[in-house]
Order: sequence, then structure tokens, then C-alpha cells
Amino acid sequence: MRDSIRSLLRHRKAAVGGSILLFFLVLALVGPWLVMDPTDLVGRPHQPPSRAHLFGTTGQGQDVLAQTVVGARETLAVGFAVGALVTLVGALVGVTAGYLGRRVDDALSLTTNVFLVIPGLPLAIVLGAYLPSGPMRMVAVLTVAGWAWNARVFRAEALALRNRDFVAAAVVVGESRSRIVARELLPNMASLVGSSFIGNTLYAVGAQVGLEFLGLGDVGSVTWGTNLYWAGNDAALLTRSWWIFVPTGVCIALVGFSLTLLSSAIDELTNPALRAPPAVAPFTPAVTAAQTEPLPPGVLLSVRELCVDYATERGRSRVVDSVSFDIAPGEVFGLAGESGSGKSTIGYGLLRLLPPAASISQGRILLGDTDVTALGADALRAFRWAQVSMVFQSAMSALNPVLTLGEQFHDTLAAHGPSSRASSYARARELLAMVGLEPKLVNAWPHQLSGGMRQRVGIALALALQPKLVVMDEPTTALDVVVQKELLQRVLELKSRLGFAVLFITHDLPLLLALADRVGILQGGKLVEVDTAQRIRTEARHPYTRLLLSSFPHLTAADSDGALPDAALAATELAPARTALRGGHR
Amino acid sequence: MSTPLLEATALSRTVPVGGFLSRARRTLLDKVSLTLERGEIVALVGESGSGKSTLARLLARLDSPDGGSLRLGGTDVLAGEKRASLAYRGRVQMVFQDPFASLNPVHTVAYHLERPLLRHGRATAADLTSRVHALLESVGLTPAESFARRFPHELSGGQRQRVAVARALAVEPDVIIADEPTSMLDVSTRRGVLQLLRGLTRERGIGILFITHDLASARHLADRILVLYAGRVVEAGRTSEVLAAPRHPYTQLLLSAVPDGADFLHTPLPVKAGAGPAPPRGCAFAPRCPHADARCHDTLPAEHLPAADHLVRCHLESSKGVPDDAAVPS
Repeated sequence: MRDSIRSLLRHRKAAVGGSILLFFLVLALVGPWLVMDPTDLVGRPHQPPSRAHLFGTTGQGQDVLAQTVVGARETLAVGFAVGALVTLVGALVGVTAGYLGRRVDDALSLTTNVFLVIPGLPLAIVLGAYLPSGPMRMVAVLTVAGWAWNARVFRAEALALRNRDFVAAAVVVGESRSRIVARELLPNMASLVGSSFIGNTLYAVGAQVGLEFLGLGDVGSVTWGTNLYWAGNDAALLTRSWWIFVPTGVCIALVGFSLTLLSSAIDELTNPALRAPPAVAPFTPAVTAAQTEPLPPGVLLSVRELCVDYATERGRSRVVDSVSFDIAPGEVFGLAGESGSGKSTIGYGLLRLLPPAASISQGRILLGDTDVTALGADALRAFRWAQVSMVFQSAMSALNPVLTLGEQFHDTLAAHGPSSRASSYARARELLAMVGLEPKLVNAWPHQLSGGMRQRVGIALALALQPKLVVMDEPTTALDVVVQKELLQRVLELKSRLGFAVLFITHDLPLLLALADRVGILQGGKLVEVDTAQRIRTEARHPYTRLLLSSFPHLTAADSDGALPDAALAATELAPARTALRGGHR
Repeated sequence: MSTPLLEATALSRTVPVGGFLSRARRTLLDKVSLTLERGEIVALVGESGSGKSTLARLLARLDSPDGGSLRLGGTDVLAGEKRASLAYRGRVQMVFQDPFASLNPVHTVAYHLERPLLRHGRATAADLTSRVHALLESVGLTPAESFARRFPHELSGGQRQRVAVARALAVEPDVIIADEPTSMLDVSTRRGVLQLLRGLTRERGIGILFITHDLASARHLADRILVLYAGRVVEAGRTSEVLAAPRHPYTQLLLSAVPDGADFLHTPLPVKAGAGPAPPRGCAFAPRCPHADARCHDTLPAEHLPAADHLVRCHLESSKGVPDDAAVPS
């Protein structure tokens, strides 16, 4: 909690927004005592700014400065009160509906939806007619008109959190429902509560000013909205008395601006993906002789001393460190490593698909005559998929859910040269048949396919342009073993027919040893061992490779009990060995 | 024979499908029975959608079954109560698949362990800290003082899963249901967690239901194994027997798909390609089964007992006759 407040203060948007808001809060608290009475008729009407009246006078002869300053108090008080109430009511209703579900959810959701479709302005007029006049009326009207949208947001969040395992774990521990809501769900919504409160306050200030400008508020009070109402009534525009409404308008705009800044700052701090990557000092890569050597014959792809850095708040963090390997045409090269070893980063690097925070800081990637690391934007677009394509880990999210399979093939084919829809569909049928799917699935939607079928589509898409190399990033991790074997057998068969090379990335070493011709073992961004699958299996040299190999239980009887020593040994000895072996990354 | 520690008989679960007013229900679990003894590890294997996790949630009393009975130490726990009693929670605990989701990111490790200790009266306010530290040490998280203060995001996946195991141990349970506890972990961490579980059965006599899709881990850890397909148990028995001589075609298929050995990708899978939908009355595996014939599509196979403790639900069994005829060509 303290950390998040501290980072909020360091954030520039938050600091600017916070200072503006703080200024207005102080103004609203102490300002009214520093200026004259805003309702007193102190001078002649419609007087422009002068020494006596710094902001001029209104159409009735009141001091504009005093009206603006005093108006801040009720406007902000009502704004924050409504913001808090709307958030509270919305959170209570939404979380209750989302967590309890079923009947309760049905009833509460129906109520919420009814309130959502009631138009706010007529509701405000009707309620305004029956409620006693005063600031409380405004609070009541705006809360009734505004809570429903907020309830929907909180319901969605509660639904998402309810299905998280930690809630189920709390149920199994024996926690009561109310405690689960209060101690497990709500603390996880702190940032949502914060940004909702600010968003709702913004809504409240805007809606309040709007209603009062229309004369639906208490016109006798002094608020920013009534200031504008009287400015309109007293023909400020006709008499060109801009000083009457500009100060109030600027104040409203500034408060809105500060709230927007704060809300976006909270979003960015709680969702780091929205933040721009931190700027790091530019880095001139050293070009070594090994990187510039021409490609030897019989090599399709050559990765030479490749380094990939991530920009973090603490400077550069190297996730791939001087990795070099070659892939021959038609070869299956495997990269194995644990999470954080940099194996996927290398795969994405080959297609220059790294996320914005990551960059290739050193080294060369050569494919034939092409230096992939030096390609410009247009050349890169032509290079991707036509030369090197990719099969992604999550078949679920790699296909576009709103396009049929045929359209996705057409997109891919049309992006690389002219292709009519008819010829694309014909090619798509051909490709689907090739990966063992029925050609008529060309008109199917991704959600109609099982996970294994989707991954077959992913492979067909990757082969659409007959690339020389296909990068496969854990393509079978989410699949059942039977589906996995079917898919991999199909890949090997296609490879021997079409002759493409494969870079296969996985954490599953036994699988890789059966599949790949050569295997590289990655640890902490470094390639610690590269050898043929056969030699890695029988005579691995690096201790980390041997640790990985021994970590997989086998089905054969040979290692039945000896391979798994006692728990005590695992708890004490394996852990330090592992930390010692790991690199400094992550 | 004494009463088993946990005994589920003919548990079924269906869920409503379709819209608001639809009466249609889909069967996730169909009359599954299992027993778990003290100090025993039973593995539950099957593909995704086979009902493994559904069964785990029923046994952990997170969901209620539509039929069947559940006995803990001989007492029927489903009779009379709609929600699980605190006493049941105190004896049956669960370890979840994803340690990144099963710990609440806003609470410290200590909080996660204090709650079950206090809720079940296993510790008093005075000895709470020492009990938390003892729990952390028992799962190999030392120094305990430093781990207790940390938040989940400051731990690695393996360390988180150890905290999750420690949380389950806090109530001193008799049964732990472990739902794929290692599938989200790195391989070098997996072994430690598996060994921890095995140690618990030996030292404390806890019975563990180990749910996994990894036959190799099941082979090393489990005393008995249950193979689930489409919500039914298709084969069950001693792990060594089932895996050495699988009798159900689906078990044979699963075994042949485990990545093991250099030529694993060169042996064909014993499965029929182009499978249609499962027949409504027959064996659910029939469309994929290389041995299936007409009766497989028409009638549900009965449970056969080719040996003591070995159950197979397949029509092939009745034509085989002698129980030692286990070598089905694959």
C-alpha cells in the first residue's frame, strides 16, 4: 500500500493532476473566508476586471472572483460526495451480484439494467420536483442516476475474481462468505475502487454543472453551475461580458483535467502494459568478426552472438545473452529451457516481433543473404511469414475469433502479393487438407474447433507462404498428450514432404529429444549446451542439462525408485543447486 | 476390511446447458466411485474434459454432486447438509493447479497460513507465529521468518506451490486433493513438490488424490491409478499393473502418447482417425477405439474385474475370458 502511494507520487501525470486538485481543494476550504460575500451587490453590473474587482462584476453587480471561489466549495463537495456514494452503491450491488451469482445476480442485474436505460436528465427533473431543495437533493439525484453503470463494472470484476483459485482456496479453508468478500475480493479491487471514485467524481461535477446551468439546481446557492446559469440569464454573451463565465469555465475544465490525469495515472500504475517502456541510454553494439562472417554452405539460418535487452526501471536487463546457433535446411532445431530462460524471446526475435520494451542490442540474425537484424519496416513486412513464420503457444488467442478460417488465410495471402478471395480459399482448403483437417472447415469460425484443431490451423497458416523456417513456440503445451503426438507426427511428415526447417521451443525436454535433430539448452539467457539429440540424451556434459534430464520421470522401469530420492533431500539440496545454476535474470 | 478413509460411491454431476429457460443438462461425471486409504496416493488421469477437475471439486465440496454418496471415515457427509461443515474442511484439503492464482496477491504468506490455523482452532494467538514458521519449515521454505513476511509475487512458482501445500497442511488434514499440482511449474521444481507430497503420505499417513495428465509422474508417485474418460472410470487398479499391462484401449492410447524414448514419435498411435460423436448409449470411446464393434456403439460396457483390484470397463474383456490375456496388440 505504502509502495503504491509512493509510486503514485513519483508518477508525473499523478503529480500534475494531484497538485491541481489539491489547489482547488484548498481554495474550496479556505477561499470563502478570503473573499467578499458573493451575493452582495458590490458594484455596477457588467463591469470588466478592475483593481476593485479583479475578475469584474456579474450582470447584477456581484464580485465574479468571490463567486468563483465560493462556488468551488459546494461544487466540489457535491462532486466528491456523489463520487463516493456512486462508487459505494455500485461496488456493493455489483460485488454482491457477481459473487453470489444465480438468483441474486439475476435480480440485481435486472435492476441495474433498468436503471441504466432510464435517461438521467428526465429522472433528475422528476426527482428534483419532489425532493426538498438544497445540495442534498443534487447528491440524491446524481447518485440515483449514476450508480448503475458502476455496478456493472464491479459485477464484471467480481465475476472474474470469483473464479480465481484463491477464492476457491478460501472456501476450502472454511472461510465464511462475508469474510471472503471483505478480505479476499475487495482488497483486490483497490485500484478499481480508486479509479472508479475519481471517474465518478468527474461524472458528478459535470452532471451537476449541467443540471444547474439548465436551472434545475438550487439557483439561490453559489456554485459553478449556478454561476453559469446566472451568466446566461444576465445575457453575459450578448453584452460580451466574457469575464463573467470564463473564470468558472476554466475552473471546471481544470478540475476535469486533474481528475482525468489522476484516473489515467492509476490505470497506468496498476496496469504496467499501458506504460511506455522506460527510456534507457542508447547502446552501440560491438560488431565482432564472428558476426560478419559470410554464411557457410549448408546453413539456412545463423544466429550470431544475439543479445536481447529489456528496458526496465532499473536500466537494461539482458534476457538473451550472446546466443549463437545455426540451423540447416530441413532441420528440426530445439531450444529447451525453463520459464525466464529467454527461449521464447529468441523465437520472437527471429521474426523481429519483440515487445516494445525489448530490443536486439547486439548480434546478427542471418537467413540466407538477408541480415534480419538490419531490415527496414517494408522489407521486414515482406520477410515475415514468407521467409520465417511462427506457430504460437496459445492456439486459442492466435486466431481471430470474428473471422472465418478462410478469411484469415485470405488476410495472410493477400498481405504478401495479389490474391483473389477465390484463389485464397482454394489454397486454404488445400492447406487444411494438408494438416489433416476437412477442407470444408474453411467456412468455420475458430470457436467451432477444438484446441488441437486450432493448432493445426495455426500450422497451416504458418505454412501458407511456404517459408524456409517455421518457429514453433510451445505449440503443444496446452494440448493433451494424445493430441500432441498426433500433431507432432503430422509436423514431421509435412517437414519431410515440404522441406522447411523448424525451430521448436519447449520446456519439455523428453519431447524435444524425440522430435529434434539438434537441441540447445538455455539457462538464464545463455546457451549452455548445443548438441545432437542423441548425444544430449546419453552423454550430456553441462550439469544443468543433466539436472533437467533427471527432473523428468520416465515410464520405463529402469529409474523406478532410484531417480526420486527422499523428500528431505529434494527440499534442501535441490533448491540451492537450482539457485546456484540459475543466471541473474528475473 | 476396515472402512476406507474417503469413499465416493456413484458420484454424478450434471450442469445445465443452453439458455435461461433450457432444461437440457450435460453430464460431466457419471457414477464415479473411488476409495482412498490412509497413507495412500491415488492418481486420477485423463484428458481435458474427462471430468478430473469436476471430481476434485466435488470431493473438496466446492460443488455438490447430483447423485451418489460421499463417506469420510465411514460417515456420510452429503446427508443433511447442503454446504460442507467446518469439520469436513478440517479433514479434507485441496491444492490447486495454478500457484499463481491460488494465493491472494494482496496477502502475505503468513496470512495465508494463519487463517486456516485460526479458523480451525489449530493454533492460539500466542503460538500462531511459531506454528506458521513450523509449517513453512515442514515444506522446506527456510528461513521461515523471511518467507512468512513475503507476498506471493515475491516467490517463484515452486515456492508458491509449497506455500499452497503448507496451507493445506495447516488444518492437519487426513486427505489432500492435489489438482495437477505440478503442471504449471518448471521441471526442476516439479520434482521437489512431488517428493514433498510423497513424504507427507509416509510421515503423516495423509491420503492423497493426485490428479494429473502426466502418466510418468503418476507412475512414480501413485499406489493406485484411475483412468477417466468422458466422465466415467474406464480402468482402475494398482499403478504398476495398469501401466505395465493396460487393458482398456484408451489407457493403451494414453500410454503410447507419453513422450518417452527416442522413437516415440515413430510409433503409431492406437487410435482411429476421423472420430465421430460419442454414441448416446454405448461406450464413449467407441468412435476412437481401433477394436470397436457394433455392441460398443449400442450398449454401455459393464465393469469387468480381470484381477483383484483391477477394474476395466470394456466389451473386449468379456470376449477375452481368461484374465491373464492382457496383451492386446497395439
